[in-house]
Amino acid sequence: MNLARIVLAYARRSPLTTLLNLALLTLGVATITLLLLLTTALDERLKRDAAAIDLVVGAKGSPLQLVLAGVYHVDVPPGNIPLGEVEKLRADPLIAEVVPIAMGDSYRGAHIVGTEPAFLGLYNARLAQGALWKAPMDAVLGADVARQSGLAVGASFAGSHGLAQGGELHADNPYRVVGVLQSAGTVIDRLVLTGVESVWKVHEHEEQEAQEKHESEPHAADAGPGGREVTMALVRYATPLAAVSVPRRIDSDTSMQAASPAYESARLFTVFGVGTDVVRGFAVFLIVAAALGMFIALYQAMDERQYDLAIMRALGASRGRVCAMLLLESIVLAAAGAIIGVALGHALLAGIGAWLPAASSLAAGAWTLVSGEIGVVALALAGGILAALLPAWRAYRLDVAATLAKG
Amino acid sequence: MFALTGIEHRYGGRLALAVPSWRASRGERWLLAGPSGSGKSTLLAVLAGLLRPSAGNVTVGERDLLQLSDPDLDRWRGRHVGYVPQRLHLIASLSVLDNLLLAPYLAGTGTERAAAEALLAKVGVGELAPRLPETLSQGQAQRVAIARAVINRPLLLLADEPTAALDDARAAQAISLLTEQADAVGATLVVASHDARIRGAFPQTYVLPGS
Repeated sequence: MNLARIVLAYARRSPLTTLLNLALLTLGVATITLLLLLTTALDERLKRDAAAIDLVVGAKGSPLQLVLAGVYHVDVPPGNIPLGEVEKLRADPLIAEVVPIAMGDSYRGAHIVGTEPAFLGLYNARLAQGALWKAPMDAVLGADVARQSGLAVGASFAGSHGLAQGGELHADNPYRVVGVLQSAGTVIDRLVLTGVESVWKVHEHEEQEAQEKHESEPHAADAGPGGREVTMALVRYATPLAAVSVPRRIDSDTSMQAASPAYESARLFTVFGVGTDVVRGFAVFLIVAAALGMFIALYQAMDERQYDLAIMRALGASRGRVCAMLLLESIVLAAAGAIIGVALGHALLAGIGAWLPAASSLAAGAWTLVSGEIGVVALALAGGILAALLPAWRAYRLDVAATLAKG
Repeated sequence: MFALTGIEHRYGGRLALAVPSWRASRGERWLLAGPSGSGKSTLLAVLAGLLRPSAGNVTVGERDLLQLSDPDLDRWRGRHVGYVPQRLHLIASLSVLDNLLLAPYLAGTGTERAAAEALLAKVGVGELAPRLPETLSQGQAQRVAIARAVINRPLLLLADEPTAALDDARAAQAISLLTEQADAVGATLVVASHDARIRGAFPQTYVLPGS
């Protein structure tokens, strides 16, 4: 005979109630855990992608769009900027590095980015095979692109027009794979890199065609009438002080606009943070409902349990001991719900990662614990203790002699 | 063995129990008689250390019970008192054997499973050990409750109306089982009952006057 045996015996006595409360608690804890893991992974992801980029400079428009297009590559860029203006930025002593990027085409949904080798440094990327681009139409594939397309060094492919899948193929200007990058765990894994000249070359040709057809449409990085153009420039400051003056100067003195990835992604996070707050609130509600269910189950059981508790007192159990027994019963249930819930939350994330390829990078850390989970477990345990407080108080105050006599 | 002097207990001002003096020696068998409402159950609760009377002295063994702190009194009761309530109160979620083992567990005396099984066999319900109490007959449940009361070898074995729901033959069996088990562990037996059928089995009787 031991305490665990007694606690288990009571849990088994009303298995349906026990399982229902356990299920409610587990679902609540699993939901909060999943959200916690997802927002942590997303936050880390956003920070890692933008870690080395202090400023994105591009055409005037939405600063959020600039960041989404230029840093995270999930949106189309607002327009082009003159290469000449970008070159002027390089002379600024407050700026350590300027990396121009030219976009407009994609390969199987992966953006083809015309840039300089310094781009690799911004994302901590290294070559796994081959070499960097030297001639126009040389391409280096990000790790995910190489894996999904099966292309290796020496292969060639045609980019398609536009940044969405299904654009017209530039079949007459195929790219040649000269290198493949190691997986960096950042957005660069999903990009195709080439020289800026390659993008110009593809679209010069197109420009001619367009002129022949008397069509005129705005498109990507191009040789416009005012000279060469690029889509954006990624800027790294020489000193943190630059944040004070450089963006303002770009916005007022040039035709371009500057956007800070840190600021814009924080803004983005607050927008959909409201959504996660709602789901989190719902999960807390589930936990509270579970605690309430546990309370009602325990309290109702007290009418029957008082005789058991009275006989335990008669057999030598102190007031404190019968109280502790009730509390422990509730805490054990809450702890079981918390542990199963946390495990389920992790398993769900791993499942989502396995199921949806787009989320696989977020699910990479599915089995690492985050600090917020301590709070979730504490919340569940607190619910368990609160649920048992009133029944425990009743047990403490129990009139043993009267209860045994009235039985 | 025990001595009660000047015991009075009041519920909300009403005198529910008055015992000027009652002494018993070790191994004696007492019938505690009196009409319903005379306070027999209350007096058993006082003897068991479950109730502190409004006035008086309670000595059991060498112990002055009313001098003990609550936790000490609980511990003392677990070790030295075997109590068979009228409704038996076996714990429905525990098996017969676990009901038995609960007593040494709560009293903090180490009793082996084998000893508990042997005791069940001795009171004639050895084969019921794994069953749940709700599957037992009244007579079987009473045997289990008596075994639970004596498993810690108490100084004092108390039973409240043990024959109230039984026919003549079973009532006699219940009393003989109680006296047998009290003798086996050397306990003083006190049976509270207003059942005239069992008077002959008790050499000593203490009568509580009706109010």
